[in-house]
Amino acid sequence: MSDNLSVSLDGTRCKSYGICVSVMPDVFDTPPGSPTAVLLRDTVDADEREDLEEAARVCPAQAIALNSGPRP
Amino acid sequence: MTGGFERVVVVGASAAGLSAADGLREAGFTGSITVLGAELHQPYDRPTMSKALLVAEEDPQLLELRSPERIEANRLDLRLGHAAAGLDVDRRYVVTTYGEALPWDAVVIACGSRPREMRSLAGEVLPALRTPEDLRVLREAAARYGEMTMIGSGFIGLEVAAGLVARGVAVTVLDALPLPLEPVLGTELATHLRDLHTARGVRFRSAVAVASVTGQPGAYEVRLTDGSVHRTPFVLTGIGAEPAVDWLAGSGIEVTGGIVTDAAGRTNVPGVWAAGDVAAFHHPLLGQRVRVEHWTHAVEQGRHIGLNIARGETTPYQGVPYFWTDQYGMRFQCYGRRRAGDRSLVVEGSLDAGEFLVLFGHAGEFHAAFACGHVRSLRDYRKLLARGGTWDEALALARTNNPVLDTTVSCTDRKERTTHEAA
Ligand SMILES: Cc1cc2nc3c(=O)[nH]c(=O)nc-3n(C[C@H](O)[C@H](O)[C@H](O)COP(=O)(O)OP(=O)(O)OC[C@H]3O[C@@H](n4cnc5c(N)ncnc54)[C@H](O)[C@@H]3O)c2cc1C
Ligand code: SF4
Repeated sequence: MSDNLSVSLDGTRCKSYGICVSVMPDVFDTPPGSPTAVLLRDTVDADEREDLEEAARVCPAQAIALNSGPRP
Repeated sequence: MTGGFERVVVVGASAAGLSAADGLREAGFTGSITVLGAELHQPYDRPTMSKALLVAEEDPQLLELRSPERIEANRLDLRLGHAAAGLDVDRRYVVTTYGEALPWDAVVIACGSRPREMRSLAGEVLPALRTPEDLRVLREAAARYGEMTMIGSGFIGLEVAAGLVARGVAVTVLDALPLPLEPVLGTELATHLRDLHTARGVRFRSAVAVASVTGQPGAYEVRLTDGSVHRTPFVLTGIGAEPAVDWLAGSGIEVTGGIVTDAAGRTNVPGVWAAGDVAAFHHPLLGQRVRVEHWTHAVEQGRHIGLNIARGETTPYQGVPYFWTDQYGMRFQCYGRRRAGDRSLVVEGSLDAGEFLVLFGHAGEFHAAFACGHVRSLRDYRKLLARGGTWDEALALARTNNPVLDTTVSCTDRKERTTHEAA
């Protein structure tokens, strides 16, 4: 099993607060005019796990999910 | 954890309380978790109320904090409409407004804060915004009167002012401070923020305090300390929040400007912890005892305390305080805390351009980073703040991000100069 984590963003929940961007600017972005955040990449390395977990926790909309292992 | 540790009662079903429950489960706690929530709503996100929900055309839909599946998967006994009414620290019960006496091996107090009250001369509590009920009152008043006066210009006050303007409401903001949020932002940024509001039609009556308020919805008279009278159909107060600690009177829990805890989250009573808005603790990074009234703090400190309880640890919490606020489609974000006397330095963008990153510090210490836009750089400053980095390190980082940076002039210096020139 790979150590990579896959990230998913629930666009129906995300309210574009952008908190995730300040935690992981390399993964999340809130482009001007976009109603939701977007993923710049959808996997992160194992050593970024803590940051990603933090982003998922602090998202007020609980829109971020992470899954271990390779993407389905 | 020691034997017989099976029952945790969490008081407060919001950001801090639910995160504490999450932390307990995350660290493998298998006992019972009862979460008491004074309100009847499913746990909801509070910050959205002064933002999207205030402005929404349609009926505002609360943003749920946890899905029902998640609450069930975490085996939370969530009791909505049940408030804690008392804490018995000898026999170890939490008594609820339903008359239940819930036994506990540990308690997490996460009951947050409530708006500081201001009353009219007739004794009526003036409206403020904290709950969905408050939001409904505010939205109805905005639609009915089309004109409002905000007493207090803190972040919530300014956010609400911005939201009301977006709804076409004429807004006046009253504050005893000469500039909104000056203690938090310093003179130049506070001026910038005020100008953003005035450019959109908000009227400020600053540096004058409210002496008294008379009247009722439809016709209020606000008497100011300079003797003038301000007439308005509706007043809303945003003058800060106080910890919700009444129910702890006589419990033996130490309360001084909030529930006093150590950095690990423990109160003076063994087994009783406190997190979020309600807790006053010695913050290792701020060097003083504070209540941090920010959303992500409630989430992270709540979880931290849950982990501590489940693991039998007393690890200090030292997350960098963070808040954001949305005004007129701009988002301001801040890591750390400005202190009185700090110098400020614009290291990216400029106030004139409307996008900027400002650092605050004093005597070689780095205290805070405040940004509008330039959000990607914030991460590094946050890490620096987390490890207690110095002003020089912050400057070094700033020069890496912005090689043409002129670090010899601080924006405060510039401001003073222009003020003197104008004088
Ligand atoms: C309108 C508004 C906008 C905000 N915007 C921002 C923002 O943009 N950014 C930011 O960082 N922060 C913001 N905040 C602050 C943020 O919402 C709070 O810091 C955060 O909600 C604190 O979480 P908490 O769990 O400690 O307390 P709370 O969210 O206050 O929750 C405490 C809960 O406990 C319940 N309770 C109280 N007493 C009892 C009792 N005796 N028994 C049982 N339950 C009880 C209450 O009903 C409440 O639901 C905002 C606050 C408001 C009001
Ligand atoms: S923090 Fe959550 S709601 Fe905000 S932009 Fe990121 S994913 Fe969206």
